[in-house]
Amino acid sequence: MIHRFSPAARWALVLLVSILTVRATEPEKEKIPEADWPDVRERTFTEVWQTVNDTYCDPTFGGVDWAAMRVKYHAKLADSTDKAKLRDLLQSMLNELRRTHFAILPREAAVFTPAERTRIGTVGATFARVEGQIVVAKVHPGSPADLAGITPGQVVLGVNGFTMAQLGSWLTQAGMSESRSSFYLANYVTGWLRRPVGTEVQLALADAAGGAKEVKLTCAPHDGAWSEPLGNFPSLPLEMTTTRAPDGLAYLSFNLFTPSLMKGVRTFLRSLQPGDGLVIDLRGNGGGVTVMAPGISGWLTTKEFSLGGMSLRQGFMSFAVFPQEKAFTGPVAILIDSGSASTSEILAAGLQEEGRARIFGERSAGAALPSSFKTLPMGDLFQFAIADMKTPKGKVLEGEGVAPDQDVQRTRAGLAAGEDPVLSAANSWLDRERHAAPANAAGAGTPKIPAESKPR
Amino acid sequence: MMRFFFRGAAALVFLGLVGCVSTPPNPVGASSSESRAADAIIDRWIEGLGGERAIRKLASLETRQSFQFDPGARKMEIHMRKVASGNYRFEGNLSGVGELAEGFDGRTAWRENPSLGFGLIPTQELINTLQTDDFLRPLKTRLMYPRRRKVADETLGGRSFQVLAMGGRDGVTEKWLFAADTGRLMRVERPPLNSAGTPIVMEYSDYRKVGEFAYAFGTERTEGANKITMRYASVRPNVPIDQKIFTPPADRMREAKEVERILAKHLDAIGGIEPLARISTRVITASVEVTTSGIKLHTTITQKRPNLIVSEQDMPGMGRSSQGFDGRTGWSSSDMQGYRTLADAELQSLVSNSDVRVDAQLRERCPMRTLLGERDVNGRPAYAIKLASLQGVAGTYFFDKENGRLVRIESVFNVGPQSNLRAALDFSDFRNVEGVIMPFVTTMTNPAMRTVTTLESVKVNVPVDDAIFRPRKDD
Repeated sequence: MIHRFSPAARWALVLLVSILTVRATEPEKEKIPEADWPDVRERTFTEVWQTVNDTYCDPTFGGVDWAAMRVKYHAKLADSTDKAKLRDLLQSMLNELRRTHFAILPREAAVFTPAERTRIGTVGATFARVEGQIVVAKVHPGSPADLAGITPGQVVLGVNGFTMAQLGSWLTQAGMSESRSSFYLANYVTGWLRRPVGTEVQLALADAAGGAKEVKLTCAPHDGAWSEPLGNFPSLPLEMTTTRAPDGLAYLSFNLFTPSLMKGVRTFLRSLQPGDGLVIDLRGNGGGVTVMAPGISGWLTTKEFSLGGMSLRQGFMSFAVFPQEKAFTGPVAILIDSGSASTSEILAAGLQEEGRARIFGERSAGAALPSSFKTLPMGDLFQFAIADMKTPKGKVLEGEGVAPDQDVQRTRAGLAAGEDPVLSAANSWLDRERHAAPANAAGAGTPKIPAESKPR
Repeated sequence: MMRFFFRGAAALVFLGLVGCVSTPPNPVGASSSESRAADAIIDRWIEGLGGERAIRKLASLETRQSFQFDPGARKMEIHMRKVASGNYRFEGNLSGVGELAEGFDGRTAWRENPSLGFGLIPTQELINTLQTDDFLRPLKTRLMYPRRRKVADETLGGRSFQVLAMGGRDGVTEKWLFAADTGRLMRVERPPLNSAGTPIVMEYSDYRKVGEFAYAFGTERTEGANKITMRYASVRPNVPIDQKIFTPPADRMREAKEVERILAKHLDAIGGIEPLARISTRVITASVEVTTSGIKLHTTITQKRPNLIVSEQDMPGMGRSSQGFDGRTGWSSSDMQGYRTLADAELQSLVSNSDVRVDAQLRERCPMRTLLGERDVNGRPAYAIKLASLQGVAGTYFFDKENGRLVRIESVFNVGPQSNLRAALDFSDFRNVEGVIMPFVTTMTNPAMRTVTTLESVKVNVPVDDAIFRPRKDD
């Protein structure tokens, strides 16, 4: 056969991104000259509609009459008198597909250069869905949230004057099923609290006793490393934790699948010793560069397998895993929760089906579609899914998520006490696996969440 | 040579299952008495096949047979008709290929498949087939094996065999085993072609009388773990055969000539064979942009004759990756996915790109063609031709009607293990580099993505150390 398909082009093709993005921030207004706006608006609308029309993996659009959607939403285009309104209109049109990974992201909220890093500030807290409520999961020491007295276990009642019920209803209106929308609320809250550095945000909280309070926070710069932008996929703040206890229990956590972290992950996995047990904590990890999932898996196996594959409209790409020399072959536990999305789910599901990892925690987000980012005429970023993702056994992750092997729920009280029953269960299992003898799970104790080490 | 044939085994020749590569001569020293003893065994064998007189009178043969490549695989059914002059027609359903018809009318050897197209059979392949299917082949045994020697008898499975060491004209000595009781040829062993190879063993069984002839209705070919079984369903000697069936379809022949003309023009359009033949090394630097996602990377591709290649990429934010073939091992190394060796379609794809003369090898690599007519490519008329080998369709190739350049390929491309992408490659900005006309811009378009590869520099015949092609495990 004659091929002529250069390896470089082939390599570029695998750089798809599976990350659940949430547009919840209200960016600063960027003016487009009024005279130009109708043309920019029209071209932006056409670009979005046409991109989906050309690239959506299912030519039947899941039963949605996509041509009719153009007519329906184009009729409202003239009402989009500014970028914010156009974003809402486009997002509404995309929501008709009832799929994740279709989002209009304000360019003003995206970071591509070091100078732009003040565009995203943080309050220094992460959130999770616990006991049916959105609660504070973790507070970074010294962060605005920490200084404001916010502690894990507190319930989030509202953000910036909006109640959780309102936020939830918006998700439902956006096409999310009621059962699924609750899973996304934690991501939504996190998104709403990401604002330009110096922006004041409000958080309504309830403590363990039920007392409500409202806290004002000023978004601070991320004091760690950032990922490198990949084409139109912007930089994001990075967090990574690696620890290895003297008894051989190793812990790896990172918030984003990005090449910037791969060297650190690889170095850590290579440092593990025979007899060790490994926890990969993907809770709250919304995904990232998809090819990193098989890349990590290669350091955890001695045989070639697949994490699944993605079906494009005209093509199929497998997430093949290639075993690496000196790969870690000890037991692996993966922790997930409703904030684990996209590439996190691809990694967890693939290793679970391969029998290479045991999954602990709560069902994942069910938002796993390989996507791409492009810049629209209005300047915003457009994230669009181009493929459907299935596990090696043919299971669809989108809308379903990954079911843990061992369902372990966190509690508000546990979070407040600094306990992590999911990690505890994983460590107990690792101990049993490592020593090939039943261990007393209760005796293993409830470990504290490992201290964070930020990549620099 | 004996060619490890099945009678009427053209299909195996097509599939590359039969092959004899010459090795240095290894004469079998034979005394005249040993030679006479060997000839007596051969005479007895020929007599058992029907005798020289009957064989010389054999005018035509029609056979139906089945091939089984693996115990669980689908059988391949073949219908073969041939005449003493060498003309033949073969029809069969080949695994992975489908219905294949092939013929030779004394002037033109051709084959046709509904999905692969129509093609003319290369002369050397035809010669091999004609030798294999020669009715007089048993009578030519002494000519083809000038050094014959009877060696010690052997017993296999409780049966006694007379054994001949048969030194062929290709220098290879085969071992032929004849049943001591019947004189029939039951087994042929051909030694490995090299120290890493495995011997080829042919076993013949189920001899049956058909008229005045005898045929082995069962044949097994074993090479290492690979076993092919052939069984005749029917053998009909000296049946009337209409000579017209050997003739290629007239419309297909006209089409084949037109395609040949287009491909010849393409060869001229790239500068001909000579400039490519002068290239021993080539180093290309290029930029690749995925326009649909804004990703950009830089690549360097280094090629060295005969088939060494390394492609190195550097992508901001992503790191480095490289793929190569050092003549023995195809490999890939990247910051994200680590090191691995390449196999199957991926390796084939890389190696196919390794030869600097690949652009001039369309005719050889794609003998099956279908002229699809004229199409518009970026506003210019072009001939669309579906090109294929017997292993599958390479794609639809579009040649500019006026200047003969290859301007587009539409195909399903391998993009990794179990990964493929249907895409169109458009070639533009043709430039002359040391006499070779090559496109400096290649645009890949798939519904989901679009990449543009732009050559920045092309250097030929620069010194290139073989070391750069070696696997890079530590990258």
